[in-house]
Amino acid sequence: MDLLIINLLNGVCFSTILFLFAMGLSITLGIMGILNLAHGALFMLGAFIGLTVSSSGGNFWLAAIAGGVVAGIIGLVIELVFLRRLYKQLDDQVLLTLGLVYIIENIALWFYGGSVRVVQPPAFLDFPIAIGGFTFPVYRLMIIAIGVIAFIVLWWLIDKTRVGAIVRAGMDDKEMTIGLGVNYGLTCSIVFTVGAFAGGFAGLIATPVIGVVFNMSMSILLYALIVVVVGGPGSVVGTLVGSLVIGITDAFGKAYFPSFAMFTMYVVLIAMLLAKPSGILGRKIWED
Amino acid sequence: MGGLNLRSVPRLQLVLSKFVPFIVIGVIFIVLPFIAPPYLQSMLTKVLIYALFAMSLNLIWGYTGLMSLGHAAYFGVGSYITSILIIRYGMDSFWLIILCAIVATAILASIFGIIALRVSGLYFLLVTLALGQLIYFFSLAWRQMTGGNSGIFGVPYPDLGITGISWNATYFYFMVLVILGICSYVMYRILQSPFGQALVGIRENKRRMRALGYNTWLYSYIAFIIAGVFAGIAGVLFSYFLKGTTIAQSGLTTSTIALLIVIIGSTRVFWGPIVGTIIVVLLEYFVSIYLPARWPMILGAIFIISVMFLRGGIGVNLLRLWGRVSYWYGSVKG
Amino acid sequence: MKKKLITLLGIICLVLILVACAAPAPSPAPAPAKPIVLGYLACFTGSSAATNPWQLNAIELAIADIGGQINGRPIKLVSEDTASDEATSVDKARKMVEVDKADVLFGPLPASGAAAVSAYTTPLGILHMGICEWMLTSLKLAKTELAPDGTHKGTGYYVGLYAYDVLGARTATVIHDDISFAEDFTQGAMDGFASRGGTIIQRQRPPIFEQDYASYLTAIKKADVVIYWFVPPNAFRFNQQFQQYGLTMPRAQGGCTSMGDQMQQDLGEKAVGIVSAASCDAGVDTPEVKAFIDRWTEMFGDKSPEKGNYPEYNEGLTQYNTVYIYLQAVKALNGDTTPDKVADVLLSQKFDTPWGKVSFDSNGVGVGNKYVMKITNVNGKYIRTAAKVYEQISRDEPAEAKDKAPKM
Repeated sequence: MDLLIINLLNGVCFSTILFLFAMGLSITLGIMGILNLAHGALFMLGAFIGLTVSSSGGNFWLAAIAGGVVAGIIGLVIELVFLRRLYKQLDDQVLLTLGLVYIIENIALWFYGGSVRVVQPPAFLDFPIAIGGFTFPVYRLMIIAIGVIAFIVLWWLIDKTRVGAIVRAGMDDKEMTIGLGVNYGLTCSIVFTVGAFAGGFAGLIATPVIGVVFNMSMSILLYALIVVVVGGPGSVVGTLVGSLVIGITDAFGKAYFPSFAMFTMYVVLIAMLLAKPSGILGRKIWED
Repeated sequence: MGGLNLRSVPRLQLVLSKFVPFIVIGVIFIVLPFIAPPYLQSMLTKVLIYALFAMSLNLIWGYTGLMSLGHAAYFGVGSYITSILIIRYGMDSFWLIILCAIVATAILASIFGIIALRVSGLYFLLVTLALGQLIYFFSLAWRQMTGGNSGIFGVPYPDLGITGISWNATYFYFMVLVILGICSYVMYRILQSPFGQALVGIRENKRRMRALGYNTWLYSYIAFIIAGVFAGIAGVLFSYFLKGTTIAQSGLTTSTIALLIVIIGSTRVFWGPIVGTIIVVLLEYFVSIYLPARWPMILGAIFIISVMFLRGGIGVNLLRLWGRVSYWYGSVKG
Repeated sequence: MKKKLITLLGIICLVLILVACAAPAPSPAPAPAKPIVLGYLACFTGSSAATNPWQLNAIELAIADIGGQINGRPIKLVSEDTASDEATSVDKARKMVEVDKADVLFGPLPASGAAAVSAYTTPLGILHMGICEWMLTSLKLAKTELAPDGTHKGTGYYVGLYAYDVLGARTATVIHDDISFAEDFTQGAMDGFASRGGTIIQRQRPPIFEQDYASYLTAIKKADVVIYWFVPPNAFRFNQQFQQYGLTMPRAQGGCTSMGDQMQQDLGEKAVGIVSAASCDAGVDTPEVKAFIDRWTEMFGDKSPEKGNYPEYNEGLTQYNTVYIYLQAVKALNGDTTPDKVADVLLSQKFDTPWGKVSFDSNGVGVGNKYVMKITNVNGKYIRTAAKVYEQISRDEPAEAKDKAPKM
């Protein structure tokens, strides 16, 4: 029983990282119809910037926010300069964002070197506590707590604010929303930036666990893609559900069939795409 | 080819002009090994193999309009089958091996095709990506057979069953060239046929094709399988070239390089991928001399430039150039 | 305008092909003597990129230490990026042999890349030497395939011995990447441990792409020592997460040292006490090694583009040794670089390195010292210090220890 709880906690912790990171991907896909494969690179950038801040003496939380901010800015730039022109041109989005990944990763290699780096968690969180017969790192519990807060904030933003209402309206009927006099472009940019911020922030807070290295962009991105498809794009609750499903399946998969864990993820993805492409809670994009 | 005054150009020349690109490319590739330094020769062999791989991708992407992010799965499987049959099972005959690879990739593509073609657009992309990754991780996990992360090495030159050949790199190059020629011809005939034209119709307007009574699913499915098989053949050749196989051959990087090659070369032109491969491989060669650590950055930049500026690709523009030359030639003559 | 530009681009590319063919292969400089060309297969990009800047420095130092030339022949270094990829490694090997006329090939670092290159070099009789442990199968292919650092099992073996003899462990739990050389490293450690009488109680194999070891750390059984081996990024992550789960068992890296100095510094207290085995290490405290470090610092000082204040000596050491050994062999032949002859010399003589004498057995496996290094906190710096030396041993697993450990 205790082991079950520990594995569950392991899973939920990973789910939180996925949730924070996948939100950006989900929203851009849901509202703007844009597949941004460079989102993983933003995760990595956020972590590296946070590393720089931290090693220059900044405290942990400052580093996390700095990472998020820089990722947000770069995300915004990418959106304005490139992605805006590629609305609904899926093939081009894929190629362009892939190109961006190559470039950003190589820049990271250039400036930070090839080693994995880490930011140690705040000292007051860096110890284990006993749960049942096992021990579990307190920092990971903190990650889960952050996730809960983030979910509440994001859900409130999308469901209860005007900006959120615009976003949801735009997902349902873009022309109408614009026709009603809403500055849709501005809203999209804001939303994209918030998503990028969340991605970069997630990057830094994940660092004390998995570290940061220049070639980590695609692995985390692939996980997030699965999350977004399973949970359904464009929905905060959907992304949460997707993250929980994937995170927990991953943790239990690793505990019981380690070599096939990754394998199972992709099978889940394919099964979802065949059964209900719009995901558990998502809206359908692009009927073809 | 705008501006071509048909009446003033004799029929023979018309036919010739259609085949000129092939003739030019063919001549270049036949002559090159004799004037090129040996290292360039092996680079050219790689160009030929990747060109075949890219042309197979062009079949479903350029001609049928289905972008696949997991096409390297077939390339990898073709390559693994070759290495495994030779090294683990002691099989010798090149013909038998390539037959096995064709059968295996056809079966794989027919299974994957059923899965992938149930969805379209973004989801097709994600499914093909997932299927490609399945092969990748499966190869990684099945260490006993595939060598896992380290790969499997020790493939000798092909055994064609013809005695008295003492293999060297130049003979291998010509063998690859001949196979590429045969495959290209077959693909060309397929694409010029009514079947091929239907594929283009599907790319342009699927609903209309359906309205006209075509079973678009079946056409796409067959194209998917054919593309997979040719990718598998390229994989077989690659295994002989590399003298082994690793998981990288079925990975995302291989799939994306193929995408880049096709888009640079032109999706609308049959021999576009050949031009694309030459450009990408040449560029990599030059970059690795001067700025080795920055190649991924330059590769990324090429992706972005291709998308933002190089609309249509180089192949199409070469064709336009050729059109203008023919027109000028025709108008001068007439 | 844009279209014309594109068409022009297309023509230029076609012309480039013809030019590339017409251009003659780079010929050696018109010096009185043909240079000795060292072909180095590097990892500037890709998963082994962490080991970049120091390798070239190490080789430069080796060239300087032999005097820059042998019998009037200048020594030239050619290095190419293999992107940590096997296919590219073979490509670049081909290029160095055919275009640069390399007399010898070194590397690449990953054993699988080295195996791929061995498949290419063996039929051609090209001398190929390792800068890291190799698979025994590669070494057995030809006498021109040699690895001073030996095999994976050979390195792990001594960690296994150390765990039993010095750490006093009687039970061990094993965990490693699910790849063949991690398997070999830890098998060697297990064989060493079991040959002394220790018991292995568990073996876990997380996949190589694993980044979060949570479930493995939760499942790990209590033993006297944890024997592990991961590739550098994973070793780093494993150790980062280890203590977070409240684990306190001593850790033995059942194979070569795979964490660089920067990683150790980042880990801080989390890294203290970890032992690993190496053929050479900057932390070995002998006059020869000190002199070597002094020469290094004098030549390169702060030339550390991305490494801040920690010159990661270890990453450059094996390269130095291998190249220096090669150059000594060529010197013994008065500048003759015929692969066959050099291989014969390598297989028959003993060579000097800052870490003692090195020679080769008939398979091309190095014979020399093996150091067990322990990570210690020395005035706030987390560095490796030598905990034990196994002198002049064959760097492959001894026959009597083979298969001593149970198949798990």
